[in-house]
Amino acid sequence: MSHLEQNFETADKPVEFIHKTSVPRPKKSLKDFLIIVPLIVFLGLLAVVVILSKGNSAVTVNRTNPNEISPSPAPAQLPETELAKSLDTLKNLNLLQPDLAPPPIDLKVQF
Amino acid sequence: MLHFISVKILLTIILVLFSWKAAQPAHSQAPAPYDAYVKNLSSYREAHDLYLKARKSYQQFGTLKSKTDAEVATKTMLILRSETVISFLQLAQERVGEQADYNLYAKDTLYTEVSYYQQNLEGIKLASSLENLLIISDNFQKHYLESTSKFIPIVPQFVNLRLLIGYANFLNQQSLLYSDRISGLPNDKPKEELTKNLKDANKSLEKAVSLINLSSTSLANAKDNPAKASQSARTNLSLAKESIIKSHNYLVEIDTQIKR
Repeated sequence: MSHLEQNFETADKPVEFIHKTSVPRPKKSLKDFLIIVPLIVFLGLLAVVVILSKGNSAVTVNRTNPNEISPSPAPAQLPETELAKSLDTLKNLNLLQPDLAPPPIDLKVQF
Repeated sequence: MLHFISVKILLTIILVLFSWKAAQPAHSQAPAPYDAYVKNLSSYREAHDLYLKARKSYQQFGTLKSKTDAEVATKTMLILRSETVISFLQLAQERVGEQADYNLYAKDTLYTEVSYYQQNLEGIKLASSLENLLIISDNFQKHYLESTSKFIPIVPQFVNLRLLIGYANFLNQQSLLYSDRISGLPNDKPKEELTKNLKDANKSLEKAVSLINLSSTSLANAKDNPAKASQSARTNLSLAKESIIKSHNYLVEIDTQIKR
């Protein structure tokens, strides 16, 4: 009997339905649990770290001198408040540049 | 089993910390020049106090131990003194800005000065006796008095020049924009008054630009007489600042009139 004929044979027979209320699942060992949990924790923390670090890098602040303006081309047009703010910065510009006063060091070293 | 869990948790913490470190932007690892200078200056002051104490002790007792202590304190102080001057010059480099025609003298001099103090620092680190340290310190003092102290007072004028060039460029752009806006205004707006204000703004700006150019010329030739060049540039830049403020005020007035 060929394989095809065999299939016809079985198709003529009544179909048996097997009802199973539950499928037995393989038991997870404690070792699997110990690998998966720290991995999930690690991946979660990594995602938080990446999101936070990206958020930080988007903001850049001139910490050396917040009053300093860059000579790079300014935006095409500033709102009125920005224009006024920029004028205030210019008015407060100290031409003595106190940060650049000579460093107070002792030149004379002798015994 | 408990040991196995602890190792896993520890490894996880290490990995998280490593990822955090790797995710930080590169520039946050090196302190900004101003912060580095302030930190070095503070450390130098502390080291200088310790050097004075060690020197006093050596002069008082003259023992071998007091000499060794004095040598260590002097070396530390000299290293920090050089690092303070280097970080100060690096701060000046940052403030002077990118190399341009008007700041070539400052950029070249700052580069030469930083190189000198870096070499001096290497010499201090290699010195093996108090006598050698004192010779290196004498060279430092000689160079500082003959070169650095004459150059430092001129640095602020290069910084001011850069900032005022930035402002003048900004106002020039704004003036062009307002010129376009005025010509496109409806007839009910006081066009004549606005045009007059714009002319006044441009006049003040032109005066500022001419003063800026004068300062630029004197700073470019500062090598022959730094003190004179610095004084001349400071006077002209101060006047340029006033003219820029005047020009800026006219533009603010124009802006208010247009929006009225």
